[in-house]
Amino acid sequence: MSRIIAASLIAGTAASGMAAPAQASEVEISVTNIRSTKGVVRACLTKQKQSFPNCRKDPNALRVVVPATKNAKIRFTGVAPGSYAIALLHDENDNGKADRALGMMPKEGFGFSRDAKVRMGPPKYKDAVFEHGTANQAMTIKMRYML
Amino acid sequence: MIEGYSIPVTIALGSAAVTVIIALRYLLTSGLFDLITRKARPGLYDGQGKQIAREIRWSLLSAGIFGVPAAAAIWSWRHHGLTMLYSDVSDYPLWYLPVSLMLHLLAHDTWFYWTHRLMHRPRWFKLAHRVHHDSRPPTAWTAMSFHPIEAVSGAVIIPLLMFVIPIHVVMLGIVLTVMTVMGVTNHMGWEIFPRWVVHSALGNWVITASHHERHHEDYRCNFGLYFRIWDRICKTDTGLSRRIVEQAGRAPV
Repeated sequence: MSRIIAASLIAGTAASGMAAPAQASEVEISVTNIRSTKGVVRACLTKQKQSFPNCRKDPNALRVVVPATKNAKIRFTGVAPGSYAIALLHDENDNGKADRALGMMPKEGFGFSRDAKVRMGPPKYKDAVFEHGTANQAMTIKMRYML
Repeated sequence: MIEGYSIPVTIALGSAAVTVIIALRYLLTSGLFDLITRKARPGLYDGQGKQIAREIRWSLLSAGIFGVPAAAAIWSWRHHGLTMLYSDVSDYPLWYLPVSLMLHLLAHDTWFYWTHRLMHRPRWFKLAHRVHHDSRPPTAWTAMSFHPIEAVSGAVIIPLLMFVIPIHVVMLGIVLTVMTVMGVTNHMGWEIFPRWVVHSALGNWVITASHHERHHEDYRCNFGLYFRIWDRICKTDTGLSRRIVEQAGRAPV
């Protein structure tokens, strides 16, 4: 039974994927709690569990970079309906990566869809995943800083 | 939870992993201070080879016991958001960072003082604590050398405190570092802290090797872990070790 549901879900996703251009819409993020206006905020959106949170190895990931400002807004356009997760990095020195202290603790801010929390390591995809339909969608993501 | 495993299996695997980390931490820290001792006090551990081998065996066994509650606490934090551990530095005010460190150390010290007093009741001493006092005098390898029964009392406290006192993960890392370093240096058999620390207002309240060595000389005194507060309140503080003060060539305080 569950297999039939899964199969029909996959079929449905595939079908909607094909129709994507017509139905694609926007995801707009309001970033809160940015602690400084240094550097940029890097955002990426992926539907691949294994590519979360850095979107590496996902050719279909969407990436947006905006200057770090107090009420930064990030807009992903052309997002087809489906399940996604978003990761933000406040790249304060704009070097394209999350700098860490002692190779472990992130020194730069991070944020995830559904405000999924960082515990030991980044959150899992399932804790950050959200559904996107055909309509535009807005969400807020709170930046967090470990150090 | 590790994908596809039941909760007990996950915690068992986690315990094994944490045990390995604790065992490595012990070997590296004690090994480092053993080396420092051999440089700074050549000959201090002469004739103690057999004792050290025994200490390492008891310590590795203790690591296996320390791993279980630690893994259970980490698991409940990671997968259920339980515990009061936090990772966003703005979750609590900045002044709370040093306060949380002190609260953890004071709570651990209190737990240790009273369980340690219990361990010196004849029944418990014979059953468990004797193992720790078989190290005469203690060495850089003694800090974790406990009978498994006593290891349980040492193993549960920090995981328990994680559920009670909010603390930032980095501060918890500092708590663990202080615990590890002070545990090893307090048993090392010589004083690594300078005289102006040991014989000062701070030294009157903070425990270093000079104080803890006295516990291993006389047994029924100086029960504290980090602070001399409980020893002073309960009049069990008898001052500093004769051996260490003698070695240092300084008058006892």
